[in-house]
Parts: sequence; structure tokens; C-alpha cells
Amino acid sequence: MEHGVHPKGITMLKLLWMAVAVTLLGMPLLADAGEEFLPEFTNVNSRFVVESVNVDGPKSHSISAALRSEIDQVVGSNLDHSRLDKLADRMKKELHVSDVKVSVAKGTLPDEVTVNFEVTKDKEHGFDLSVPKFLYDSKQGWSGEGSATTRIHGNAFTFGLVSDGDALAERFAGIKAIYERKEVGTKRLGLRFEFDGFHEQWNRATLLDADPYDIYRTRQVFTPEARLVLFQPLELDFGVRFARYRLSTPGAITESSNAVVTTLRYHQRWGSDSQGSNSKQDTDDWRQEAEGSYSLDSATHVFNSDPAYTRQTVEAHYKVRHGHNRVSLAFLAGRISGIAPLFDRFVLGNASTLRGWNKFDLDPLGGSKVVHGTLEYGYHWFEAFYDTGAIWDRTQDREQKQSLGTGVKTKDGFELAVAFPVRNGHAAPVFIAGMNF
Amino acid sequence: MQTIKPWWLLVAFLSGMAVALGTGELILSLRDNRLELSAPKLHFLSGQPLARLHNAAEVPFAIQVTLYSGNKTHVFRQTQQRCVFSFDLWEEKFSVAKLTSARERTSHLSDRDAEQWCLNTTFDINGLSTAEPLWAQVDVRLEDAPRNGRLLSGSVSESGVSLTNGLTSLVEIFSRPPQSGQTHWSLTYDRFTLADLRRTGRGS
Repeated sequence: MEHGVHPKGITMLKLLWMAVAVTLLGMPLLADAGEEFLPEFTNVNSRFVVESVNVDGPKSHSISAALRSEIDQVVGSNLDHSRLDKLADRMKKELHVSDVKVSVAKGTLPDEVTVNFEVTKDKEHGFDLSVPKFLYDSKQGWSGEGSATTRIHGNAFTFGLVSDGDALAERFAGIKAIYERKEVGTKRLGLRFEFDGFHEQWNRATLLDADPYDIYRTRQVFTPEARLVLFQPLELDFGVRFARYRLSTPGAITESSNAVVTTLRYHQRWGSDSQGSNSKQDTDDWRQEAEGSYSLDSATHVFNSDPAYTRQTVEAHYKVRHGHNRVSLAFLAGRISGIAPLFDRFVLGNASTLRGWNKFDLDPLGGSKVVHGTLEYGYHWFEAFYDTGAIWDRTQDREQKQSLGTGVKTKDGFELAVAFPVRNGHAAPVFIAGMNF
Repeated sequence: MQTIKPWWLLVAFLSGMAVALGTGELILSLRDNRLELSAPKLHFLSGQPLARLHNAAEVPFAIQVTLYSGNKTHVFRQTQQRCVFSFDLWEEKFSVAKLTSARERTSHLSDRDAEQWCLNTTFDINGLSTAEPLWAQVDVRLEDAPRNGRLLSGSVSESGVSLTNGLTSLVEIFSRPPQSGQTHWSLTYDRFTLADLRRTGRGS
């Protein structure tokens, strides 16, 4: 006789097990549903759908694409005030403004609401002191620039003192006076007038190589410029630069280099700039920044310029940050057609290009053609970099140089680095310390 | 000898009235073995909290009602609760959620009704003698809603008084004096007895 279970018995058993399973599995789900009930119903407005989101106020056009996308995602979702507050906080950090106010109002259709983020205007600081450049290079000595700015009703007046042995073939020291208005009638147009008056000092290597008529003792530059925002993130600077320089030759002749100056600039950021925040979400964020520019300066006899030349420069800079890791890539290429005065010639081998090399060893007069690239990696304060580039006048003189370096760099931009030129034979390191914005 | 002028007395009287009206009053009534407390003149939905509500935000208040017996340090009965108010932008009415284990909620109220719905409290007074000296006190404190994250996500405990995610527990809140700048209200009903309430017609 076969022993078996009646088919009906199996079905009953299965049903019993299913009932037990459903009860056991369902209980926590039901309990969870109960816990979820409260948050959704504490705000009666959470049932309304966001009809539109608007961002108003100064700097509102500078919001990164990633944050703008998140703001746009609010449209069509149910109102969640804490989400809006969080977005406002991120806007505050990214735009560096004192406050972003969130306003919610009835929409045009029933059960819909509109959201407005208002970026508050930053209180104008009456008086600012800044040090845009302060650095020591063990081969080129100290360079520094300090300025004081006062702002009155949207007008900024800056007066600065500078002594720079880093940026050009010469050391120039003197004053800068700048008037700037960032908005003239419209947010898209700004104006800037700069006057510089410098005395020059020359390195022995430069004096030995240069024609006496290339060397000048003083230089005054006046640059009226306008900035036009074509469309975000593309800007165009255009203006004229009037430069007068007194030659060192007997008789002290004064020459002029007057040029039309134009720069097309692109600057874009992705991801949230949450520096200073320590939350896990912030450290998990990818933040990228790209900057590129093309400059064309053309000195012509039409403006009574003694030398006639054209100077073209392409610069690109890409930065990416993830957590405490940061990588930076920079590229520079330039070309001068015609004979430019020494202050307009390209220089490599300073605190930002071919670090470790001495600019007077590379080309004591500067070059009319340049290519340069930089790769930097940083983790927390640590940084390591690789520079490569070439500077030349004649094609046969073109020679690629490289350098390596390491050091520390703080969030505020203070850098302490040691850089080595990569070459055969003895490589003397160069120490660089300071801030160079 | 200096005399007090009558108009000074009038000013003092009016000032006292203004203070009394401003802070409201605590009303007690006795029904069977239950003591009912209400504060119809205490209005905390005003100023900045009201502005936040009109901006569709939710605003939490911590409310504590205490009945002392024997002396003013012996707590006979006490309730603590967190009431979260919101203002319906379209219907222009208030909603309140009591974050207790009972999870009560009401809506379509005026501002006054919403306040009273949270403030009205009933205590069981079984075991109290009619001659026992009593004190009653109501404390209301505005809480800052956390800006990052949901107000109450995963934060309601069984007792309904311990909200740890984003909001401080009620026990912790009322164990210390109001922080400087924290908006708060306090009403006290000074020494009374159940016999007093019955004598003045506020008891049955």
C-alpha cells in the first residue's frame, strides 16, 4: 500500500504556510508604512505639485550646471520644503553669498505652487585689502603685490603696489590704479580702466643678450576695457592698451606700444562647490571646472604704435576634484608675429611654468613662440606636478624642457614646493613659497 | 511729602493689563476626576513662525504642561508633546500633527483653533486631596526645523517624545532653560486647590 498525502492536504498545507509567510513578511512592511505615514503628513502642503522654479538675484547666473539641473528637477515633484532649503544652502556655498531665500506661493493652477529662490545681494564691503601675489623663488627672489579696494554704489576703486620679478623677463615695480564697474546698465556689460606705472630692473643675462634699444627704464600703461557676457559661460573682453616706455639709451627716447586687446573667455563649473563642508555626500561629489581663453592683441601704427605686432595666446585649464583628490591640467600656447617689446614676450621658467627652470637660462629675452603644459595631482595638502614646454624664436631653437616637483598647498592657495628641472647632469632644485593667484 | 498722581496709577494699571493680556492666562476647570487646562489667550502662531508657515514651511513647537502638587518642585502630572504646524496655501487653513504615539492630526483650522488643539490638556487627578496645594504651568518653545533633511524621517519613537534625528528630544529640551534668542512662552497658574476650583464654580 502506498503511503501518500492527499492532494487536498498538500494544498491546505501550502495555504497555511503562505498565510504564515505573508503574515510574518507583511508585519514589518506594515510597521514601516506606519512610520512613513508621519513625515509625509506633517506638512499639509506636501500634496501640492511644484509648477515652476525661479532663481533671482545677483550671481544667480553663475550657478553650476549640476545644481541648476537639480533645481529644475523640483518642477513636477511634490513640494518638499526641506529639499528646497537644502538646495538654497548649496546655492549659498556655491555662489559665496550671505543668504538665499526660498519663497513658495500659490501657482496658477489649483493644487500647484511656485518656488522662488532669491539670492540676496552681498553687502558691499567698504574697504578690502588683498595680496594677489606673494612668493619667493630661490632663483628669482621675492615678488609681491598688494592692493586696497573701496566700493561705492557698484563702483570699485583699487590702488595697488607691485614688485614682480617672476612674470616677465624684467623685474617691474610700481603702482596700479583700477576703476571697475561690473554692471553698466545691464548685467551683461562691465567696464574697467587700469593705469600702471612701473620702474624696470634687468637681469645681467638679459642685458647681455638684448639690443640696447630693447631695454627700457620706465613703463606706463593705460588700459580701458569692456567686458561683455555673450551668453553664459562665454565672455568677451575688448579694449585698447596704451603703453609708453622710456628707453635706457642716451637721450631717453620714449616709445609707444598701443594695441587693440581682445579676449574671448569661457568658464564653466560642474558639480557642487562645497569647500568647507565635511559631510559624506559632499566628499563624494565630483567637482569640475574648465576655463579657456583666446587673446588677440594687435599693436598697429594706426594707434601711433612704434612696434607693430600681433600677439595670440590660447590658454586652457581643467580641474577636477573628488573627495580630497584633485587633478589639474593646464595648457598654454602663444605666438607673436612682428617684433614685440620685451614686456609682451612670452616667458617660461617661473613660479607657474616650467617650475625648477631659470627663465634666464631658457631665454633671457623671452620668446615669441611658446607651448606649455602642466599636470598636477593633489591629495589634501600634498601636491605633485609635472611641467613641460618649449619657448623659442626660431624653429631650430625649439627644445622641449621638463620639470618635476612636489610640495604642499593649502586651500587658501599658499604653496611651498621644491621643483627640479629634468636634464642631464647636475639638477639644482628651486624652492618656491607663497601665494600666486 | 510726594503724592502719587492718579494718572500714574492708571498707567500702572494699564501696563499690568497689557502684560496680562500679552501673556494670556491659564484657565482650569474640574470635571469629575479630571482637571482641564486651556490657554485661550496664548497666541504663539505669530511673527516669524507665522511668516514661515505662510511660506509653506512646517513649524514645530515643543509644548509641556505640568501640574505640581504639595510644592512647586513636585511634579504630579506632566505631558510633553511636539506639535508640527503647517498652513495650507490654497485653503488658507492650518493643519497640526501631534507627534506622539497616538499620531493625532487635524486640519482646516483657524490659527486660534490650531493653537488650542495643541494646548488643551486634561489630567487625571485621582489621588489628590481637595486641600492639596497645586500649581499649573504651560511652556511653549519654538523649535528650529532642521534645514537639511526631512523634519521627522525615522525619528518617532514608541513614547513619541524622543525625536533624535534632527530634532532634540523633548525631555532634553525642557530640562534646560530656553536658549538665548529661542522664542518661548510660559504661563503659570499660581497656588490653588481643587476646593478653590469647586468654590469658584470651575469644578463639578
